[in-house]
Amino acid sequence: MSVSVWRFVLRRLLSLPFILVGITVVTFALMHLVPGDPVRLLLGEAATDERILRAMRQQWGLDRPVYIQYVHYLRNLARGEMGRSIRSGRPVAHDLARYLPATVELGTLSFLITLVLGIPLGVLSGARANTAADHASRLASLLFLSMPSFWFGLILVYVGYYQLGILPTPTGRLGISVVPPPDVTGFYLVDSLLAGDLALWARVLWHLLPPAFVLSLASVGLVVRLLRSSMVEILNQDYVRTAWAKGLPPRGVFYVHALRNALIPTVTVLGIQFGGLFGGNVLIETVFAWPGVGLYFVESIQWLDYAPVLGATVLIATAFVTVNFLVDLTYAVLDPRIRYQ
Amino acid sequence: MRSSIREFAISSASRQPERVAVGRLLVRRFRRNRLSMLGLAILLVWIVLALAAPLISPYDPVEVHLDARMLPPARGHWLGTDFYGRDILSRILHGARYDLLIALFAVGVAAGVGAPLGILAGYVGGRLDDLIMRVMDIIIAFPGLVLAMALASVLGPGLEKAILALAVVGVAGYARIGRASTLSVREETYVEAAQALGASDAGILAKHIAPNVISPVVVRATLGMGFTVLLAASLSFIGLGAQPPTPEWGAMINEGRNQLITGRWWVSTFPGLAIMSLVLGFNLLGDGIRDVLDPRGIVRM
Repeated sequence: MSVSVWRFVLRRLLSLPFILVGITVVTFALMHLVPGDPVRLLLGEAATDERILRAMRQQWGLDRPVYIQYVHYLRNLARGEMGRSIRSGRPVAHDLARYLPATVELGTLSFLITLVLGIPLGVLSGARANTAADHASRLASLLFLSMPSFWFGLILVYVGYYQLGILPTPTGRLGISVVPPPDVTGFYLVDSLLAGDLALWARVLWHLLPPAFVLSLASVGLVVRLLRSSMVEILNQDYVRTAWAKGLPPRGVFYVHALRNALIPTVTVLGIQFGGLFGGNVLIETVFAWPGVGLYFVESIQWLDYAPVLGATVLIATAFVTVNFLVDLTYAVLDPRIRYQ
Repeated sequence: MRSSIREFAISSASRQPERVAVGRLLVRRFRRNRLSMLGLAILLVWIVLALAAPLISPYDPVEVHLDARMLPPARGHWLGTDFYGRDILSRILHGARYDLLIALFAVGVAAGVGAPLGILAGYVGGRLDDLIMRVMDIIIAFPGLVLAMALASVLGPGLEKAILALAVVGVAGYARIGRASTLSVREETYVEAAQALGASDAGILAKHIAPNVISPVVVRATLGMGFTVLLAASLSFIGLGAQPPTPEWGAMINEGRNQLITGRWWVSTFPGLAIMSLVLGFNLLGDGIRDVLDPRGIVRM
């Protein structure tokens, strides 16, 4: 790679810590917006013993000026100390670590579905612009973008499970009576394979599909719209005409010549979607009782259990920013023009 | 040289008649775009329904009727009734007022604060630019729904708090657009000409910068209204924002959630369809406005 790519990478890399610190400033401010004593927020109902309260105030610097408090807050975060959940009684970091694999597994599968549905539909729409197929896929993608995904999830469960009985029970990662695979990585798809249980693996996948599908729909809509417009633009360019003139088959022209360039603007959006799938799925996890970070976040909000709310917010935003950073790097490698901006 | 600059400045200042012609052209192009006309029609229908809700609703949206609980859609209750015997059609009609107002206020505040901040950052540049835009970078670093939920949860339940949370989430997008559009015209010859002629910063901002910022902001705001309706419904779905018995659509979906298990599909389904149609209206209209304002489209005509 050339010097300019490295300069771009370096500049983005330097801004990353700044943004991460910014995120903690926001959550620190949110912590102080919560009505009542922050100690109670961090410690929960256990906060009755005066000595524990005092020790806690000291650990979080709550008897000191605000900027010192913030330094304490950062130091605690760096140690993975985010307070205690009132509801579970466990440290927030502990809970988050337990729920994270379910969210990552769901987000990853839903991202794959976005690619598998979105890219062919977008190419089809762009290549066959203004035909019936194009209109259908555009209408579908507009509807995907316009409906509340949590509502669609509820309807899917109602029709698919309660009425037709063909979808798995909306009870999280497996049916209630099914024993999960022995915990190694926390990813059921991996753990069931490690245990050599293919039937269980299939069941895990079967439970993953409905929420992952619902979660992917809005991203599919976005990808189709973007890809269509860049395909239409690129198919009018000279080098594509040359490809046709050389007698390449349509598949070669569309998927090799046109798609490569049409994908460039889509990569950014895909990246934002990928980052967002880990944070944006809070409601889908709620609908499918999926025991991930999103459900933990929402239930904590409903219980007025603020320490987990803020802990999950830091985690989700950090993941989001990191993924977006990696996407920017990909983008810089794919598109030489970006380096000079 | 001097006179040519002045001529240029004068000619760009006296562009009024031409602008009217362009305006008419834009309206004509917009009306030819059937999908955006459909979007506009959907929105107008919802606005009329929202305004007329108290007059046309068959029932009171919040009054409890224990003798009419959970009736399926039929004559009398066209969309059925909910757990408390409230008429769902009446609640959806009244709900349109809440969802439209939330979106209008949240987007209004976000654009009204964000766009001027972005213009300021782009026009003044330097430290101020850095300061404003770094703050915006931090807001954008959060997934919108998560930030809105975290903010609304610490602020507590209530419509105005949901609006505030949604406005904060939206503000950064408008600041970026305002800044980008300002930067794109700041170095233009006609702005330099105006500066050379001694025009004040305020005058340049109002006359030369603002018109260039307005159209991208309008496009963003129209599409943003749809997105905000979705976010607002998401907030009330988990119990933030609008509180019962307020007939807000997201809250209504939540109220019907447990009814789905017992087969009473109508309680959640209809408010969801209402949200979808309203958001679709904003999306179609926003797409249409964007296509019309895209200068490349004018050349094609």
